[in-house]
Amino acid sequence: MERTKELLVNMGPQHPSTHGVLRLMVKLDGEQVTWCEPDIGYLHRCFEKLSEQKTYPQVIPYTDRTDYLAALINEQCYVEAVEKLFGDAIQVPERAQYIRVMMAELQRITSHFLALGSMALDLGAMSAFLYCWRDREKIYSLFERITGGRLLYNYLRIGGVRNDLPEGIIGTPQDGEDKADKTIWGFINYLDSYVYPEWDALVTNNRIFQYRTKGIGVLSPEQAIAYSASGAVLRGSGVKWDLRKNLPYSVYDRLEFDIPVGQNGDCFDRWWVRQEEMLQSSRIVKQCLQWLAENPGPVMAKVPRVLKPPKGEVYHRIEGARGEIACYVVSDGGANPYKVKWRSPAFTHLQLMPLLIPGHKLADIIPILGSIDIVLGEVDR
Amino acid sequence: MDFLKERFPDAQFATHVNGDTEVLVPAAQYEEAVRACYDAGYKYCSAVTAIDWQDRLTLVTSLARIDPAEVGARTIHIKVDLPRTGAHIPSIAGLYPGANWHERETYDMYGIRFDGHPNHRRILLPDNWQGGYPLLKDFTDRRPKRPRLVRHRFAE
Amino acid sequence: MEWWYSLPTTAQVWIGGILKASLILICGLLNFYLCLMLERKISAWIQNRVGPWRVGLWGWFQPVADLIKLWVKEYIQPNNVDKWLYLIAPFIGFVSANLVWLIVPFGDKLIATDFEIGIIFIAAVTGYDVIATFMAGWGSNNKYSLLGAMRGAAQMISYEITMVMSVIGVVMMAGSLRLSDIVLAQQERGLFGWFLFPQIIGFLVYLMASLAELNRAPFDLSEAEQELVAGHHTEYSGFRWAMFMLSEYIHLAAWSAIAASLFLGGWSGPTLGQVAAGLGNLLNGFGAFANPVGTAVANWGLTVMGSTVLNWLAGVFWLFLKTYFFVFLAMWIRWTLPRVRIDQLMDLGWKFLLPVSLFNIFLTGTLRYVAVAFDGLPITIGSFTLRLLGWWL
Repeated sequence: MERTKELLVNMGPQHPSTHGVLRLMVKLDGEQVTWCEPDIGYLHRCFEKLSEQKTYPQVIPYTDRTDYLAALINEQCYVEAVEKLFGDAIQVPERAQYIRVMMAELQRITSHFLALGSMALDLGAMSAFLYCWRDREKIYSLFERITGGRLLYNYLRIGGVRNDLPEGIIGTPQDGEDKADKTIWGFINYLDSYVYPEWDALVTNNRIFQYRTKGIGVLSPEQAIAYSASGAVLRGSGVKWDLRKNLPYSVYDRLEFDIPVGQNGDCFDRWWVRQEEMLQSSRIVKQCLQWLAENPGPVMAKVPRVLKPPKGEVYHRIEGARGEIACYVVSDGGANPYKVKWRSPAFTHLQLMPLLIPGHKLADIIPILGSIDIVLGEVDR
Repeated sequence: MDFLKERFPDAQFATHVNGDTEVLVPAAQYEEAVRACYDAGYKYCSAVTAIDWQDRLTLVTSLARIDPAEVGARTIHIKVDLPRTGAHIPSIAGLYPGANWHERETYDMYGIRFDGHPNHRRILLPDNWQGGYPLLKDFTDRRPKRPRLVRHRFAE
Repeated sequence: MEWWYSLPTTAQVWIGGILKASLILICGLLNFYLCLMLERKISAWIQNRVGPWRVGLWGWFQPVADLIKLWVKEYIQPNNVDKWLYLIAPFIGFVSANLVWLIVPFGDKLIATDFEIGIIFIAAVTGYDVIATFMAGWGSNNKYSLLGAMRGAAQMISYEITMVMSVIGVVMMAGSLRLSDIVLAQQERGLFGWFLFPQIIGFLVYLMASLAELNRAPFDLSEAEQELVAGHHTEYSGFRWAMFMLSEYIHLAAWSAIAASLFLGGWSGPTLGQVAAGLGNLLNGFGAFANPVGTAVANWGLTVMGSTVLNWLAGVFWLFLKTYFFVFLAMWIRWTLPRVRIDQLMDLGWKFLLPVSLFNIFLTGTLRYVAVAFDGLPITIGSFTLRLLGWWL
């Protein structure tokens, strides 16, 4: 009997989609995929080697650029790791911690917007992508007023944050949509009243979208844990694990929020988990805003001019937008870190591709890749 | 941690500032130590990396437990001292598929070979990269330099 | 016009034919310009932006700039293309798109060629598009183009059958395949006489099938930019690629015009004379308080009511209004819905739409028989169908 040859297709480093410079090698038998392997390294910028030659505060902008879509969360991971090395010598003021948490949650919301928007774009609902940018622009305006930067900030410092929130940015709980890019309360109210229902109606409840994502890329809980999945990928498979609740850091143990969990571990569940996480992040931001409005105070601890943490090592894991971000900092007592290892979730999740994709059709690669939610800055560092 | 103390009484234990445990085992007992952690419920491999002390390398494997009901479970770091050149150690990619790429990256950056790894290739750098292992402290860029383009001078 | 009738018949036929063909070509190209511009403006409006803005007034000269650029662009042709297939494919698509415009009735007796078998002609001409797609994909000597072309050809062939089936109901109600007859039948049925109401099932099936036939979202897999392959027109650059775009938009406008003629009553609508007469009547208060302005307007309306040219203009106006309603609908759907997968597309076409359109034919036939056989039974196809749909939904 004649056998047809398999077609080796290269989804090259340049994609029409927005995921970045990733190369996916795929073997096709007609429309079925039989083998898949990602090839990375196109965005490797030697973050770990560079950080050994910079001082501790100088590494903070580099951490921004790993997961550039949710930059403040990366900064939080690194800065908290170094603060742990200092132990009791640096006491971060509580107001700074609440500011960090609030900014991290706002970043989580925007990062999920982009993840959902680009997955919708890849599936053909092109308008949803532009709605996500409309909302990200509002966040950019807010962040520009607070930190000075739109996408990359260099805002957190070892010992606190660089500056307090400017006057009037918090707003009042009654702020409406017109203040969505002027005050944080306005933005949160705008999200709750307008954006989340719009997403639901436009994409999540759309039958075509559900046909394309339900039952695709199913990941069982045991596989998810074995493959070191974390974040929405792990929760989409039904494992209720969130580092903000199970290994609390910063002030998360004082905040109230729920953890959404999926049931089937398919693309639709991961999508849904991200959408629900945005709602929970809104809750956290509201609690932080209430605390911040009532508790003025310093935002930076007294730290020495040249930071030299005592000798030691620390491995600090936090819940990033895409999963577990962890930072292994080794200090030898000098002004430069001896080693900084950045464990990024997207790097680890990309290992799932050879597991999930074979057996599906060519057109299913796109929702699977979108639901894993990678950003190449993190994968390659 | 206690189960490790029982199994490996001569290993060196230490505690990090944030409560994590680290245990230094000899290379021959690495696989056994990892297996012991796996059997004790540490089924999640967070990262595999290495540290380059000037006289030796230290491989660090960070394992954790994923139990939705548990709050505050700290990570275990299993450390192994290895020579700076020619180091090789059994791979745990069969037990922890999530460690597959982390081991490839450690090989790529430090030169530690993982015996039994299903796909032992460089990951971040190109497969045919000749320059050595970048994250070693004495790394110098020994790649052949590209010829500099000289401005073409037309005949006078 | 005596000089016209003094010409020999063959000369009349040839000159008339060339004239009609040129007018149809110009009509097609004007529609292309409008469709292209509308696509960009409507998509911008949906996506909360402004679209082209700088070129010309509010950006409306953008297609001129685009076409000039494409005209002067370099032709990048891969090495081992099958030369004739590669070169001719775009033109075949363009020709087939324009052929559909030949039978669109613009007004009473204002139609380029009034075929007796109008609907069948459309079905036949659509086949050219499939050929063009496949020629482009095969001739490009590129496995990705071939993949896209095969998908596209399979999709188009599946939906051709469904589309023709969905229209048979209209043909049965009008009693003729000739498009001008269909429009006149709708006019005769009076107010709400459009075939949209009795044939609502056929209309919905036609809408989906024509979107699939045109390779427009949510069925645009063969051109899906976000997926692996860029489709059958990957290897075309410059004006050859512009030909594909031309044929796509002219096709869209042509199919919308056909839909308007079949379901929305085509060129029928109040003419200028009728509007003026009615307005005059209104101003007169329906005879209650007659005033000079109202009477003047009404009288003027009555005098121009018979004018053929003004009636033609009114017909063209109404036809294009309805056509662009469909075009707007198609664009709205494109920019809102995600894309379906190829196997889901085939399932939809063969397992759902085709049986539904066959059911529609059956229903129409049965109800007509019942209405004719039991004369005076107060049942109309429209009310029955709408009630049925209401029950099903």
